[in-house]
Amino acid sequence: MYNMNLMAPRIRLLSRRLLKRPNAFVAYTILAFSYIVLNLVLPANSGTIQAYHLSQTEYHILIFLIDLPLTAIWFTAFYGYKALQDYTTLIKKTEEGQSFYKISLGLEWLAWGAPLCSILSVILYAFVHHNVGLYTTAIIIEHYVSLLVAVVAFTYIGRGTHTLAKHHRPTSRSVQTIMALFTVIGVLYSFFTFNEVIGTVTNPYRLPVWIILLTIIVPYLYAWYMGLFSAYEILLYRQKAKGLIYRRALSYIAGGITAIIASSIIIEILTSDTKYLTRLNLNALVLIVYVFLVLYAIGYVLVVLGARRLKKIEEV
Amino acid sequence: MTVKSDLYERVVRVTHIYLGPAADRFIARQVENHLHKEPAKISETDLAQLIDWIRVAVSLLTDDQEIIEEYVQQLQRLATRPSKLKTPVKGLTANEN
Repeated sequence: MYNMNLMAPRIRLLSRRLLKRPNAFVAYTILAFSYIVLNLVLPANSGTIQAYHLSQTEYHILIFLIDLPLTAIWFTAFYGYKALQDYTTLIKKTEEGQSFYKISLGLEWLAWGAPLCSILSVILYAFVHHNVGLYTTAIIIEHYVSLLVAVVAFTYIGRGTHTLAKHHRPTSRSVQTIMALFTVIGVLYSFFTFNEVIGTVTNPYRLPVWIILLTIIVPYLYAWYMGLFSAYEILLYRQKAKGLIYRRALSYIAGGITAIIASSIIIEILTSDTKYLTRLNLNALVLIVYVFLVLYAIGYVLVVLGARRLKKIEEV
Repeated sequence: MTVKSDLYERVVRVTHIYLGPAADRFIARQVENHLHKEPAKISETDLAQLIDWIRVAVSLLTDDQEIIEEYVQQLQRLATRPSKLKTPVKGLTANEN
């Protein structure tokens, strides 16, 4: 019969193994493969087909051609956050270690969020294909999941950068510049969003205006403000940090995080203002989005380069 | 505060100019791994060997020879700079030494 005294430690060990975070590259492979296969197998997004006058076959070919570079960009994101987390394990007992770990968690949310949102979108629209009545539900779920990823990711990044930069007081000019930039982004985003929503028979969010304002616009603006200020704080930390060699490595990370935050915000704004984008030629639209996705990938590559250099300082 | 930990602090202070918050960990690692001593117990006689190991380690971190030489020279100056607590002179007070 089983010895009950030995069972408890085994159960604890099993629980720890099951709850252990999955290997980043294994997870990426599964997600990327799943996304490509689902895109090819599941029915196409009828809204996109109608908007760009595509056939099912043309849609699937186009999606496959877009999927390949997209999954490559996701790979850089997974590689980037993993590299930063590998560095933070070496300095986890230090204050900057804790800060960089929080930043890496934010980057991890962004890295996972992209493929998960894409896969969710493909699955939801496959359901919609068989039941048109689910279209509204699909849109709402899609918007809120993307929003959740942005809010959580930028909150983590913000907490990390704030701890790093807490000993360095921002200049009043910097704060005013950030506020001005945030005001412009906020006003433009709100204008484009309300322009899509007000006066249309079926607004793209399928929600009343006040709910859109309180549960979509406000949280996105919060997330983007956290993102903008985080970018400033990491650049400030880099500027004020001591150590010539340390600061050079930090430049890559600061530049990378800034690029990731900026491109994430722009991509989100671009993909949410569909009314204006559907007027664009499909090639132009894909090109514009890809320019910022490449910037996003470059950001993660810079994070990898910086994290490797910092890790080397802790290893030699 | 003993003479030896004072030397360690001075080495870390110089290293801080180049490695920032990683300075203390870096020097502790060099002392433990290459001199096989506790960091606080390094003496003036260990300094030359420590500098050699630091030069090798920093060469792996940067290709900038100017920075490496500048760093090493700053460390070498520590060997020539007399420590206030090194050999107290008889007849003088602690402050005068």
